Amino acid sequence: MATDHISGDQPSRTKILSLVRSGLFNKSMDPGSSTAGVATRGAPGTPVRIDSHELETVDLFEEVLRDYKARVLRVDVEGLPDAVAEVVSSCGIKSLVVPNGLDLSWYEGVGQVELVVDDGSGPAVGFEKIDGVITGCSCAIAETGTLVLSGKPDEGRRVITLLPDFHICIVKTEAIIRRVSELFSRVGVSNPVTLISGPSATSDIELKRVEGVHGPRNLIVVIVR
Amino acid sequence: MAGSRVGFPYTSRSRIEDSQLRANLRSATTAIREKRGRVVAEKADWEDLRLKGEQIRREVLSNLDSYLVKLESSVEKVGGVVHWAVDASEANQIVFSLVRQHGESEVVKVKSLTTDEMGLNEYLSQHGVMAHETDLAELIIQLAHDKPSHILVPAIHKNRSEIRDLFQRTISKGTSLSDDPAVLAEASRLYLRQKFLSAKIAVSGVNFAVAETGTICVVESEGNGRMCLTLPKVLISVMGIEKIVPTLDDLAVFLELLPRSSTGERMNPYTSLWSGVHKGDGPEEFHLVIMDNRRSAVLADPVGRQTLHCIRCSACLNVCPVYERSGGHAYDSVYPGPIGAILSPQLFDSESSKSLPWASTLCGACYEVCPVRINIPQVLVHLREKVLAEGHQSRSERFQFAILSAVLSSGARFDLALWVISRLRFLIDRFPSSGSLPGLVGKWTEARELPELPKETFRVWWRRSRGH
Ligand code: SF4
Repeated sequence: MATDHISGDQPSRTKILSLVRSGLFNKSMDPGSSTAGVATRGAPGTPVRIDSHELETVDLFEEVLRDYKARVLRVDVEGLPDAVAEVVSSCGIKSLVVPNGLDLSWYEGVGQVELVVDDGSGPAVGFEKIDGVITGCSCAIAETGTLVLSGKPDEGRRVITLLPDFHICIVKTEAIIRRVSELFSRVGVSNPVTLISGPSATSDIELKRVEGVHGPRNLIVVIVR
Repeated sequence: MAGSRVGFPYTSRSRIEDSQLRANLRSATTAIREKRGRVVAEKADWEDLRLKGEQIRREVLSNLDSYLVKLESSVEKVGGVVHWAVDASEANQIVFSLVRQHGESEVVKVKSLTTDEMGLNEYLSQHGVMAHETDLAELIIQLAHDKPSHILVPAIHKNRSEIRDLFQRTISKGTSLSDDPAVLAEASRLYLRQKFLSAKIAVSGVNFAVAETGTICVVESEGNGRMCLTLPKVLISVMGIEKIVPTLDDLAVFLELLPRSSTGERMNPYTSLWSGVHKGDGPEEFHLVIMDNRRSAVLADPVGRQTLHCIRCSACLNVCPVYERSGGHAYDSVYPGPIGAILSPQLFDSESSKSLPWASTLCGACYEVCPVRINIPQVLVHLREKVLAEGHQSRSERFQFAILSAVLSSGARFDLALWVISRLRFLIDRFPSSGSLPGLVGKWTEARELPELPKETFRVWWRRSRGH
């Protein structure tokens, strides 16, 4: 057992740990179930890589995203600036925030919009007045249609993808993994990590799904070959 | 059960008679059940995942003391402050004193069963602090001064026009709203956004805490969680001692199991992970309150221990034939449904919770869907024995069972009993089938119709027709 340390001056800590330890005294009486013993935990994290053609994973990703009512575009690198510009104008986005690590060429075509380039240093205020945000992502998960943000320079701090109503996320095909079990071989937790699977939603009223409550109500994913 | 009129048989009665409630429940549970079935069928290795989930939970609980110490040191290493609470009242005091230290009188909250278990909102309000629930359903419940009736969709018992009327009276005073769920959601968005932007302190629960890295995970749908976890300066998260997973890769297993079991989605819209304090991004102060509140006693019961595997997905509620008819309020506990029937009697001392192990048909549907393979029927039977052994059985009931066991343990006595009953048939036949019998068996017939007695018993018929 690890030794108790620093916050050992909290009497409740000592009490809880001793209650837990005396509870565990019964360990040997653990009722057997289908698995023998407790320490035989397999390698739950072993990525299950389904050997599939790259395109298949991308197709799956796109299909699941569409199921979430996200708008999905697929372009090649050359077509990216035009695609982004088209999305911005068709959504009627008048003001944009981008993290300062986002490749300038990706959004240089957006034209007449008010643009805030956030370097993450200022106070986190005022973003609720901005219409949209463009970010990259650390990786994306095909099976669940998930975008993974982890505070990288082209993703920015969390607040900029939270308050604006439109989130345009640019996903490179090589960043798409098949399933959740592969996630932490790609992404660390030294920054906050946010998994986004479709736009914000609630089913709290008569189980009827309503897209968009507090987070961005519109999610646009641009997949780049 | 004891003669007092508390407990599930009494609290469920009016609910079962409420046909509107039953219709709401049936359509809701059917819909979620079907969604769950679809997305679970997509995963070819679902049973493997369940096994892994169970193994991880088992490993954590078997070494919970060292995992707790490890979590504490990991959280402190990344700048969080860890507090320990033996019971709910200590946890409430810790949260309140943190709020007071910052001179605040309001906090925003993310839906959390653990804080419901503590009665945190009531405690804070008694001490002059208003806790604003920000999950749409929890907001509805809070505004209506009502109680949640489902773990996942707490306002499942309210229909849209009730919610419209409620909102018109409260958060959107004066404005008239339609009963379109989208309009109602928008009304809550407008009301809550101001709260999010001005709140200094947020209180959340914890879905998973990763011992290795000190990372906390909260899953949600609406984005209110992200707001609370990102915008305020101070974040206080409360967890039961059992909410630990060893590593990030273990966490990934639950991120596959939970959403599919819970909302029947491949993944919930938002999952937030943070590790202590992240400079320049989110709260400047992070407090983790680790609460026991009798979980260590559950741990000590070798059969009951698996109850602590629970990841609160609510799949067992949606498949339970009892829950589907009685609804969540009948359980008179923060934790309803099959999980409530095993967790509540172990955590709480109330007389009513002691009746919950009987709120089941033991059909086993809950065990089949449980993503961490809790053998709920096994625990139910175990708890029934425990409650009875504690003397929670009336004298007349004990007497009845003594007779029953005498009759059923001998073929001759059984035959004799059948013969006596068949002689008394004329008496029983005079009774209306829906009436209740007097005396000892009266309780049984209060809720059940008396079956019609056949002309001859099976044993008589067998002897006659097979001729021995
Ligand atoms: S007991 Fe199992 S099925 Fe029920 S809520 Fe807990 S994890 Fe889900």
